[in-house]
Amino acid sequence: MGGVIVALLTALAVAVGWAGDIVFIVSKDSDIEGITLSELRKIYLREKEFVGGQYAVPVNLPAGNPIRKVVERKVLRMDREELELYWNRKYLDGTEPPVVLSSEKAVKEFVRKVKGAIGYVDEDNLEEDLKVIYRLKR
Amino acid sequence: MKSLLFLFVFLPLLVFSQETLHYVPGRGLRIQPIKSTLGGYVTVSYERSDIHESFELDDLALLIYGHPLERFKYFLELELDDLYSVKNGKKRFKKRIDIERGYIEFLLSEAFKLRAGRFITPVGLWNPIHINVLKWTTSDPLTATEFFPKFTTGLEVFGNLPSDFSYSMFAQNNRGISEGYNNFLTRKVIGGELRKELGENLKIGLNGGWFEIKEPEEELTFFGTNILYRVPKLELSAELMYAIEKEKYLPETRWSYRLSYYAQGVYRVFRGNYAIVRYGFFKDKSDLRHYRILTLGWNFRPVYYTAFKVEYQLRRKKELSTFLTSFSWMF
Repeated sequence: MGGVIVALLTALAVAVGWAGDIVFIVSKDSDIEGITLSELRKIYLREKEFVGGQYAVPVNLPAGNPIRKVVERKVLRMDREELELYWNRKYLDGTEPPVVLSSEKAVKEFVRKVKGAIGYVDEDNLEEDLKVIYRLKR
Repeated sequence: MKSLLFLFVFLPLLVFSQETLHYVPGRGLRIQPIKSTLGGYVTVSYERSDIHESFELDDLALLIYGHPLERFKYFLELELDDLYSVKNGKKRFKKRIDIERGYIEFLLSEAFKLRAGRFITPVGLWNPIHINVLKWTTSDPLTATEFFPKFTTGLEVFGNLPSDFSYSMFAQNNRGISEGYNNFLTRKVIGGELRKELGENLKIGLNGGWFEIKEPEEELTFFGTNILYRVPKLELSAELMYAIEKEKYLPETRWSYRLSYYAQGVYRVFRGNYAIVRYGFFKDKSDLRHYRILTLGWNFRPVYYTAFKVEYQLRRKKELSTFLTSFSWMF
């Protein structure tokens, strides 16, 4: 029940524009300092596998998450049907889509632990030991 | 081959516990301990013209691939092609299993990745997506079937370069894996393609290569170009291929050519429903084949992992005009 209330409040916050920017993060120790929107798009579509010599591991929030919906619309610039067709091709080509983690907390943990991991969270949930490599306006 | 099938397909199901296995329809079975995925696809197709009728259960394919190490990938696809077919009333049941793709890949950097084994020849727009469930229509344009071998058994070097360029170079100088399962019987191939993205919506490619056909003994030198424009709900594409043919035992001056191109438009009419129009041209001077084909098609995808297609190919000779339909499913 609690989860449903949080999801509803988040959706409401997004709808009325209260939520902050979305920040793409890496570990503080990562060599990645910054990234372009075009590079980010290619990394999340698994068309680009390395950033600055480091193998990149993109991480997604679950399908339907309001932050992920913004990322799909503004970074990938594809609707759900286009993405499904895109991943059909990648599946039969031997490419896995980005890892899906259940929450922003899990994304932050993963990014801290895995070298090359790139995730996204609401900037209000950013913590000091994480480095922002791209800021996305909602 | 049966033991290979058992080793790669059934053994993982017996060895790993249920908790480490995760199945998603159309995306296969994820086997987490070996960072691999097991899946496949199947196609049923029907074709009819005034002079030909066929029904086929083809493309029953099983694949396993993985990325067990950061810079190492593998891919194996076993296929029962034309498993059961009825062509002009003649029934045929084929039991042979072919290796459609089987390769290992080393990721050295973004610009330099190496693939070794049998892989789809990375030429053009259509050939890399020749699997039925991925294609917009059941039929293929002749640019994808008459100019280069669909599969190469050898080495491929590929990667992404600065300024939104990407490339693939490939070569074969040996017998092919499952070499009978290819559109040309060849043991010597070399070629490549250079691609450029012009913004997010437009891609162009230039390719070229050479290969030797075993039967009949011929050499083909091919060149091609392609363009793809994609925006929400609309995809426009075109390919052009030209090849110079030389029969091995004829004088150098005796050569011929073949030329083909197509232009295609795909429009998403409403969710899961796509209308396709394609105009194709093919001319082979050596055997006087000359086709102009207008294809009108519909692709219905009730869920993302299935495709139901119908199309009608209009040709100048009415008896060659063909109706095609297929159902394909990824699992």
